Amino acid sequence: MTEPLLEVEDLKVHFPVGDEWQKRDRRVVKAVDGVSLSLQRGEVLALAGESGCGKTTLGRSIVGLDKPTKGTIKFKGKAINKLSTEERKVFRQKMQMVFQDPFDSMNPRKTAFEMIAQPLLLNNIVSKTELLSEVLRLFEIVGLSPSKSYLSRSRYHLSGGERQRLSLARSISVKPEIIVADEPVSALDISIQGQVLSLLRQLQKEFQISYIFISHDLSVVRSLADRVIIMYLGQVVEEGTTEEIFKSPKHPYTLALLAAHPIPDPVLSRARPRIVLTGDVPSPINLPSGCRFHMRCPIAESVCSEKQPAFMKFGKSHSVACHFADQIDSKMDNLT
Amino acid sequence: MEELINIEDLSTHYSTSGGVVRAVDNVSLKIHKGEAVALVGESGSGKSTIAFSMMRLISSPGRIINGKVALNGRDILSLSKSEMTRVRGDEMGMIFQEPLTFLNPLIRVGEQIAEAIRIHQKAIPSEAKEKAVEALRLVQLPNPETIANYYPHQLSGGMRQRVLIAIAISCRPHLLIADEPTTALDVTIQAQIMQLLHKLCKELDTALLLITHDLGLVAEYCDRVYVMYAGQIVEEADIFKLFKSPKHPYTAALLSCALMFDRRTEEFKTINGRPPGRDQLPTGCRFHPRCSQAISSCQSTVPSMVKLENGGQARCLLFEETK
Repeated sequence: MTEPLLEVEDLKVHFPVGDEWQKRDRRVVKAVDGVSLSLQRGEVLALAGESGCGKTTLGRSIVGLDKPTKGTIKFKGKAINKLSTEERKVFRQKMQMVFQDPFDSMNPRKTAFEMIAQPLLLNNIVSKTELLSEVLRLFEIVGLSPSKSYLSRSRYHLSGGERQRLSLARSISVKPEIIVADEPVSALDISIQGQVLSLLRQLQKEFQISYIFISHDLSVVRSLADRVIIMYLGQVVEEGTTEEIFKSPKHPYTLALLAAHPIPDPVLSRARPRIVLTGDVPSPINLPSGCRFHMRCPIAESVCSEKQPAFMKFGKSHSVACHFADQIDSKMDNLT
Repeated sequence: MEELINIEDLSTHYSTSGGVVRAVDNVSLKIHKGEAVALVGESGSGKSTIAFSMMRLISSPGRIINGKVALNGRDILSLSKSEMTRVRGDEMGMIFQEPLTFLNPLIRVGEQIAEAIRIHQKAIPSEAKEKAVEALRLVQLPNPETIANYYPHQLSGGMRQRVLIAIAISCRPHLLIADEPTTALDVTIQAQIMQLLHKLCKELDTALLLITHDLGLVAEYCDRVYVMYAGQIVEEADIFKLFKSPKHPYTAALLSCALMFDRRTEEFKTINGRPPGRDQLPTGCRFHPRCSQAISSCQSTVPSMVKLENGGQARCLLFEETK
């Protein structure tokens, strides 16, 4: 394997609970608590899990929006907190983020043209004389067509799908190598979702862009990703190729997520086994001891509340943080 | 099966400065006793407006222009305000997408359930309190006596939705309207809530009208489906028949957009364009600008609902011609 484009090692992002005025409150929210991952060029890596699992914080700290408490993030082999000012500027250009709600991530007073023109000029991508033609070219790439009619529109005069196209145009304007996409289609209707997903796929092929694709929607993950990381309470519980995760999941949480995911087929969805988890996700302030999932886990035993499970490896790419990952099938069979 | 709800030609419009928005236009819909019916469509298709019209909770600038909503044969649109108050809760309960918006933040949840019981069942306070705890137990909350003393902010999203369900079913309504009840929840919590709704409706013999955009939930929990597009119902069918062979081109396109769970996708299916703004509806069939099977007459002729061989109905000229 070639050197990964991006490498994250034992990353921790903790937030203090108390603010300026409550410094006595020493508790911390362990949003991301010891995550390692790597991303190859041109690869789509999905981060999946429920709200509060830390997937967004992980994505934000990779692009530098949240400061890691511990651990390293390496881009092309270089730790990003050790970059010089000049190198940092290049890094920021190579790493872009697309947010769930493009409405909130756009300046209300700017036109679509201005939103794309600014990063182009700031990063010296084009000269002023070529600016207009470059903006129009980017509009065409993302399917905002006829491109001229979009130049003077503000965020209010765009539909949800168009806004997401515009924010993708803004990201690719600076020729990034990695795009961190945080739930880019979950605010869209399903007839529009496909349009944006197709665009993501097209950009990946055309410009060799790698994605860190953050999503709670497993069917979107299934259709887009090459590799998947399943997170629970700030940690990775299972990692593997998309095939491995969906065809032979080995963590009970992954199994429960898959079983809870609605399938648009009445025959299949009524025939499959049910694993309904009890209770809610515990608070990331008072984390459970041992395996963080043990309180909701249908196959938990006493060891699970005492010892944090290490990763068990299955083949080259599949690893699972569960004491019973190697016996998962028989354990789950015993339940029903 | 006995008929519980019969909506005929319901139209609810909103008068705005930009013109009249025809949110719901000539909708007819039936729900039988104990049946689970889905009303599915994309955002803005008018599905919530139907629910609010049924409960007569439409407020200005919205107005029910036309139509009948019969509940057990009685037209509830002509009831007085006080009679309608009794229908809400007694005969029809409703739960919403964001439970926090519908719970009073300053009142303990047990009291909020007891209030409904006191008013609708004329129960004395101590009795109402007991019944409220009972309702919390019914929605499978642990330690119902303790939870009854909690304020809404002390509960998680899933627990709040359970409280809302407890209020809605506390008076044993014939119909429960659930408007995107799990959209704000995580999938594992969604599964808990949907299982609970399903079980309660079966046990209490309550009919369910599930309003959702999620075809997966429809497939798993409903018996019959109405598909909405731009304020109109475009297809009605039995759940298994709809998913096996959808008739209306919109339904077929929508189903093909739903991502299948079993493979990587290179070409994602979409429907061209986007739903029309409702102050500028297309002429003829409202779906024709996005329809892959549109013929020239779709632009000018408004299709009507046609009964189909599979027992369902669809609003499309393709079926009118073959008749």
